[in-house]
Amino acid sequence: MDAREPRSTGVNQTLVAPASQAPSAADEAFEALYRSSRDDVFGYVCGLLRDRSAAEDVTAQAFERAYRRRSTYNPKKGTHRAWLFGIARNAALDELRRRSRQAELVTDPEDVDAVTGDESAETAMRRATIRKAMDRLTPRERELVALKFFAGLQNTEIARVIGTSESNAGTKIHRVLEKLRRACDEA
Amino acid sequence: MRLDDLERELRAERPDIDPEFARKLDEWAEAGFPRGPLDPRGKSAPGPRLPGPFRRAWERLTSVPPRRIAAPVAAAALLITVVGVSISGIELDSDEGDQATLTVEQEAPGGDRGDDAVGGAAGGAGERLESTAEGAAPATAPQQADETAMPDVVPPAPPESGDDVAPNADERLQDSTARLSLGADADEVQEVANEVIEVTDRHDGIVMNSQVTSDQGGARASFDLEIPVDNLDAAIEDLSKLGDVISRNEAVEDVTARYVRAQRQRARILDRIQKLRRERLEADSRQERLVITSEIQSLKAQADALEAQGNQVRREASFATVHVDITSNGPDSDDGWTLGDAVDDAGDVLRTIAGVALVSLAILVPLGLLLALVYLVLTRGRRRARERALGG
Repeated sequence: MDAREPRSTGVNQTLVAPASQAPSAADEAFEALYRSSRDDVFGYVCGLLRDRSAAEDVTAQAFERAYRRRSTYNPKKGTHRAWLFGIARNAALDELRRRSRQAELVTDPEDVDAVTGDESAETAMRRATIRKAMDRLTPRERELVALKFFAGLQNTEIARVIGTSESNAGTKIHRVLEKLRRACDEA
Repeated sequence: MRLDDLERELRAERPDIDPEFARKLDEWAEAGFPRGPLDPRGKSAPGPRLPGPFRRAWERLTSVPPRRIAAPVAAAALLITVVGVSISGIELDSDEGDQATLTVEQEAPGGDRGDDAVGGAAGGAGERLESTAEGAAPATAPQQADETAMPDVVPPAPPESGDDVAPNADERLQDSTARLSLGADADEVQEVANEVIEVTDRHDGIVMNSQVTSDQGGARASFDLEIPVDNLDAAIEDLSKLGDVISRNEAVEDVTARYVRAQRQRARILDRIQKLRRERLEADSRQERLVITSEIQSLKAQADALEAQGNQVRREASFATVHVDITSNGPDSDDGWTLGDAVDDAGDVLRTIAGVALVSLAILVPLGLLLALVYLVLTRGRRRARERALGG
């Protein structure tokens, strides 16, 4: 008697798991978002707050909020990253408000401005120049730098995060860069 | 410095995440961001410190955007309002149920009936149409506003010719009817029935019809009484004392328009008869006189019928019809529940539902608008406050 040939070929393992434990599409999408954006969110928040400790708290809070609201993400309203950075921005601005209420801006410049030992003198000087120029920026301008260069967002995403048009966001970023360049040249 | 170089330098300036914090954050994310020891923020984590179930409920509540909460909250508010309005309505109904039901309905003479009267008069005198309509119109509003103001209501204007057509038209002619349901023990129904007759006699009334039955299902009696209008209130009061009042309804129908219409038609006919008599005197031939005489007789018959109709209306107005039911089954008896009662009950239920829905909407719509406004103001205020944190 001929043995019946299997209808499926190439299957050597079957995973059986309760449907309730299977990750949903929203869970999987959020996990991918977390993996790709963790460092960017921290960079943005830290660049905005200029306080590592507070930035860590706000980053954790932003991801927690985003996770709990992951099912509310609407692709029609922008990219997943823009949505996440919108939440992170709100958390960071809440932190700024809280600090302003306490009438004390606790910064930790040593953390941000730390110079590693293997930098050359020229690199160290250039970075110091950049940081001094950054110090002359307003918080709003610093936020644009953080969104563009620390978080790596596109102008479309930045526009969505700060609530303006793409062209306006691009113009603002260009102006900030010009301001920074002039400040660096003057230094 | 070139812009390209500046951008490269700025990218290099990005703060790097601390590896230890990144590891903790990864573990926390892997576990699904639970509150507790895995939280890398530790005790600095914001949010209320609540016991487990409450905390989970709070987290679930705060994780839902307000737009999604709006629909369930609106539904809950609607439900609460409907239940509240229903309960208050039921309480009101039960309060009313403890007392005898008294319903007084009164038909405005300026309504359809008044229009009919005007229409009847208009055939004979076009000018009277306006004066009658103007006289009848103001009677409607005060009557609807306050039934106690009835004596002040302006009656339809009598015709200008023939002052004897409606000599008492300035008095309202009202046909009063009353229905009284009394409950009594089965062995007392006959006694109560006898007392109904006594009360009727005492108030100069007439028993038009009476029926007393007694069987295994209980005893019942019903009476149709004619009571002089002036004695109606006293008679109803005395009749109500004879047993337990289950229901009591009174209705008043204004029949002035019917009376006035009949009288006006009669006046026109009488005028016509007078004219015909003059024509008969001036008639040239016997044949012509016979035709006129025949017409006069026909008109006289019509005038007599209208006079009888007017007298009937006056009689209706001077006597109130009172229907008295006496049952031994009490108000909770199911014997009398018929398909018609079921339809009535269904109508009552639907009316109640519609009323509750209307009252609920009257409460919820302004409340919802107010809440939406508050939400809008709060949202915008929070957004502006956040923007101010960046320096205006």
